[in-house]
Amino acid sequence: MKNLITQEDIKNESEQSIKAINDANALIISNQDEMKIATEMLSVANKFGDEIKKRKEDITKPMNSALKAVRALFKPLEDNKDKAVLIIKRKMIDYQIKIEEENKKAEEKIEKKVESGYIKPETAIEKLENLPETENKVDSDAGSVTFKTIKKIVIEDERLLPREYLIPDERKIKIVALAKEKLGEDQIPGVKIIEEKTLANSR
Amino acid sequence: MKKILLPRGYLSWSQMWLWETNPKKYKEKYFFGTDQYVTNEMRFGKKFAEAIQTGKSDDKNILKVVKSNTAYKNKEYKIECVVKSGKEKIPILCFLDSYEDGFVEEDKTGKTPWTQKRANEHGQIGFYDVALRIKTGKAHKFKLKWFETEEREKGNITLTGRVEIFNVEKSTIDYLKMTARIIKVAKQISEAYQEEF
Repeated sequence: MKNLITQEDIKNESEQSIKAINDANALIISNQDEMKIATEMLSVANKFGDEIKKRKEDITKPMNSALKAVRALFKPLEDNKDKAVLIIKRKMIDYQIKIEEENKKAEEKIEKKVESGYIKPETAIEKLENLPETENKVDSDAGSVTFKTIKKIVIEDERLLPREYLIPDERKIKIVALAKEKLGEDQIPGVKIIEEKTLANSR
Repeated sequence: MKKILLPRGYLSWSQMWLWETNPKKYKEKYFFGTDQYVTNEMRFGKKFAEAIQTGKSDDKNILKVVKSNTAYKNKEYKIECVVKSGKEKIPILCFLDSYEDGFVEEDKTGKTPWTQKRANEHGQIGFYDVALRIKTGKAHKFKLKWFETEEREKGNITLTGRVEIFNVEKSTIDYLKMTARIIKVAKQISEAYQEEF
């Protein structure tokens, strides 16, 4: 194979990368000439990085393409399975809820009948005993199902939420704050624009 | 319908709870006498219950809490009664942590906090309510007392000193529903027991 990378190659390049860190640590910039040397070193380091990235992608790109193709092949099957599972689960839960609601209504009726003396407690117990069951665990030959009641949160009114539970939308804040600065408008309260030096290396 | 036959000859809350939550484990324990795994929490709960009952313990922390705890006069109060279902009779056995003329206290130790809702829905109190109504003909007032525990080191459980009390009262419909539940469970156990043997 043309671009075959051996363990030996990786070892050599690893040594080269460690040397780059050592050189960077030893670098002192105290005048414009040393700044030029630093630019040279930065470009060499980045070129080394570009080469490594290219060689890595020579390997990972075909793998990713293969992975993408395999995922695409199975996706329709998985989607259909997910839909079927969702429909079955919904129907099972709907039935469970229906029985629970019907039982609750039946229990209320029985309670009223006992209180009014229309039926004896023994009759009520018999009626209650014969209400349809909602089993929390259902077994079949292929597998079993366990119904659980989980707790979820619903934010009813965001305005009532204490400050500690709110996360700033930094993306939106950045867009609006920079636009305000450009237009010379008052800044968003609690936000200021700062400038930070960075650099771009072309090679 | 077959006659109701229970492995121990009676139904207790712990039996009913185990059957409802894990029939397989119930069968192992009550049909075949297999020893069940005892957790550190369960061991501590037993030790605490014994201290409440006897007023003695080798754990100073437990002893301190027990001495300041005002339980009712009769400890480990035994109640035996029969729930009737047509011609069938289901013997019931309960041991109330403490009892005194219309008042019952049930003590719980554990890390998980008890709440009023949890106490109201706790089947054990409903079960005792059925037994007491059958035995005495009247409704009782229940007090569920939670003694919080923590695990300071692996396996070393201790009381934190936090104690919370939840008062629970059961209505007539609660009583009727629990009675129906007891009958249903007794019939299920009986059927499984007779199928097995």
